[in-house]
Amino acid sequence: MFNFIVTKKTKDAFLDTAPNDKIVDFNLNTFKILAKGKFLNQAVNADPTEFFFEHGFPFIPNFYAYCRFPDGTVALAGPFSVNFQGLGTTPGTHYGTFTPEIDATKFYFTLTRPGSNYNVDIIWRIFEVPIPTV
Amino acid sequence: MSIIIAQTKPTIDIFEAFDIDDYNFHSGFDTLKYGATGKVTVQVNYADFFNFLPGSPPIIADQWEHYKGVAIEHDLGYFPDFSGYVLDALDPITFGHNAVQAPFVLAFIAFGVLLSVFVDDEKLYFSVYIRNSSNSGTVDIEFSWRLFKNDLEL
Repeated sequence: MFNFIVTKKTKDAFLDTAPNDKIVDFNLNTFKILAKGKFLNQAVNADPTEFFFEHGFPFIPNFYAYCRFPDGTVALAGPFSVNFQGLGTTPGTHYGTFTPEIDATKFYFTLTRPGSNYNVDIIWRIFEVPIPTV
Repeated sequence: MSIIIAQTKPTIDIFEAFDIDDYNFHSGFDTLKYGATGKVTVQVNYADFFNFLPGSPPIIADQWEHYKGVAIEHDLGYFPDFSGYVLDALDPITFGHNAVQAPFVLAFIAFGVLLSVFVDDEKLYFSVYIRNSSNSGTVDIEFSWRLFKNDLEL
């Protein structure tokens, strides 16, 4: 079968087989970003607080989502301490969670409010391949 | 009018391709490009604690809360896409598997852990919070990380 490979400088298309040695390889898929965006300065003033938008794709896509907390740091989805990341400071005794969810029509972001109200920035990417659901 | 550079997989007609996955590359779509990767070990000394929680032995043990953070500079000057994993240092707390995506949390009556990886425009941070019944000894928590070149545009 015909193949086409473009490698990086100093790499040999016949000998260097690591995916990152290559710029293009017909046999390897790439993780293409179909859409990306952000919601800035969103208020988390209820427990929980949910944001969502219609993503417009006719399938349930792979995604990444990040959250920027009031201390300025950015984390992936999951738990966080009540005073956020605060490296060098001690965490609080309560935890919150940042949970992105997706279905065939909407992309949802849910944050709990372990303490007082706070604001966040949410950044998201949608990739081209669907999440296998069956 | 913009020019598109595209290349389809073998047997796929570029003028009839409609699925984005039919393309090896397509200038109309970004891809996630990664730059650096590595591992970081955060050692927590149980003699260092920021809070003591008296229990009611022998039913609930006394507990101490420990916190340690480590940062490495990425020098990108912007907030990058990234991923972070906790390797099996806390096995079996991380369910006995080799890597678990951070942030990770697990809490029981007498034990709790929050393991986080996060970024800003200068550094990549790794933090460990542990609540347990130990005030001596150490534990090493090993993180694995990957930075992408993509800018979160914050």
